[in-house]
Amino acid sequence: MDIAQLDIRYSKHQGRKYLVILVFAILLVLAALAGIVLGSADIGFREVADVMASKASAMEHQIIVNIRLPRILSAIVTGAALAVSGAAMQSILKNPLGSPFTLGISNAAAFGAAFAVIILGAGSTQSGSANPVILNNPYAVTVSAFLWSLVSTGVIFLLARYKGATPEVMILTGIILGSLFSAGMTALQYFADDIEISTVVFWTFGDVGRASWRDFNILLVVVLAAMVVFIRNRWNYNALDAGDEVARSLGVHVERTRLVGMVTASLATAIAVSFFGIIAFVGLVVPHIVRRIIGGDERFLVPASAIFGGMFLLVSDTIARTLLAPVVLPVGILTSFLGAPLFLYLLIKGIGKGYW
Amino acid sequence: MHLSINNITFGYNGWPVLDHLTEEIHKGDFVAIVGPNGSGKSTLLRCIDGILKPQAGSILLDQEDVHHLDRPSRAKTFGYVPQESGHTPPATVFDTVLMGRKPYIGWRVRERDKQITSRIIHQLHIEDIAMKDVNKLSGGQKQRVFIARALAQQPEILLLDEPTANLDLRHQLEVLQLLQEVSQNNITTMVAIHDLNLAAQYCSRFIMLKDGKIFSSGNKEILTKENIESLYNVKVKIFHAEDRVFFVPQGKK
Repeated sequence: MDIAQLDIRYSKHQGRKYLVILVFAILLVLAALAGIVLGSADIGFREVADVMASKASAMEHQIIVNIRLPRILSAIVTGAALAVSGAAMQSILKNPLGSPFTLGISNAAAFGAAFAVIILGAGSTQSGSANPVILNNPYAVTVSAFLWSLVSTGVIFLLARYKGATPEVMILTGIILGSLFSAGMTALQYFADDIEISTVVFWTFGDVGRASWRDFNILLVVVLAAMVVFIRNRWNYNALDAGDEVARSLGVHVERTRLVGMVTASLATAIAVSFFGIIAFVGLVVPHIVRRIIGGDERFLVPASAIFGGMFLLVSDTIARTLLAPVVLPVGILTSFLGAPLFLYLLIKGIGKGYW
Repeated sequence: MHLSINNITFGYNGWPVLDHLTEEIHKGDFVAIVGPNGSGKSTLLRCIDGILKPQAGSILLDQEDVHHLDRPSRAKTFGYVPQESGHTPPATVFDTVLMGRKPYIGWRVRERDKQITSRIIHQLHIEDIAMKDVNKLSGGQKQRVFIARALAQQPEILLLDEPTANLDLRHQLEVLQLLQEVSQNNITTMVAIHDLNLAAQYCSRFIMLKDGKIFSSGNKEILTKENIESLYNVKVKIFHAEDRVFFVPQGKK
């Protein structure tokens, strides 16, 4: 085989991966269109067209522009944030269980929410299936959840700086912090009254239905920033795959790469969790699925995980909204139900065909 | 480029592994580092590559301290092939070799990086496996791919830690012959190696390490019965045939 043939074969090999990303993107757009027209209110493409032409009724405008659209876009951005963070963590930590959740982010955020509700008195609950949780001060809960996630990330960061940023140190610290925060949460709940407890419990059901346009804008900026970090580091992550020693000999600052990746993934996840509660398994399962389809090359894995993750959470949320209509399930419950058997399936089929 | 190892000392947790080591290596040398297990061969290679930083002394490349170079420049100067890479995630041979372009890659891979990768794959005769997963290759093929990756760095100096350790006879010869050609192309090549007969056949210079110190260094003349016997603490017989030297171990001393 001569060099020209070799180049052609490599271009084809790369081309297939671009094609997969394109297919993912098309599916995402289709899922978004389906998400707009599906739901309890009778909205069709005609009403959507009316809204775009400013001819719709106030009611239709309200449903499409202020309820469904922010919800759909937030589901996409949140799914992307969780999936891309999980993909980066799995590569950085060389561990199939690597995800910001494994590192205790969700426990820290839940503790932060409980802290805001129980200690700072930020929430109360009204019964009623349509909107069971009324937080007097939702931003206090979000900010508290985020700050406690930062505490968790900060401890892992400092310990990794001190003991060396090896996957073992980072994973073990994360697991220890996770159980510490869930212990803290239990302790807080012991001193709470039943209204506060139910508020906290409802908060932990991850739900993108809480999304407003402002939430979406903040999330979008964070996710885009995180994507830039991950994409910038794609060759560093690829080098880490070949082993720490090889990565060092290729000029990679191994410890710094790990720490920056860990902090970025944790922040992106912390923001998503703080706004919408705990949405399990997306960060864990989506990267495994994508890796099986497109391979482990970070150049493709990062964008493909983002798109697939967005689509995954959007489809899950659309199903959660319509499955038991008019009851709207929080998507976090659905992803947990979907995620566990999906992960088991991947396990039985051999997670990621020899990636771990 | 001329490499000077100047009085370097390195230890793990206060346990000295390299003890005030000094050596000069000339451009295009094919250097064998030999010595018993734990004598510091791998540590020396890692110090030269910059994976480890010596606690004292310096490594100079044409008078410039290697540890003052930034990471990409160092990666453009030294290529390194570790002993056992263990299991790595699936990646094609082409992508693995392209990884050697990492120190040159800015935001994206340029056409030139791909051209160099293709050329090296061609030179090392691994075109036919270029789209295969590295993990599915035989030991000999894998070693060629990892050497190709290091060569894609376009290094001045190539360092290899026991490149023939897990290979059969034919592949040992192939790899050493390849490295000999590399050194003849003026890329200084240093290998840590256990097989003295193979080293004697291919290498042009020898560094004998014992307890982190240089026991002896020089060209083939230092491969004497006395040196080998006291280096390894064994009895050997030495034979000369067809301009070559052979050692046959006889037993412990």
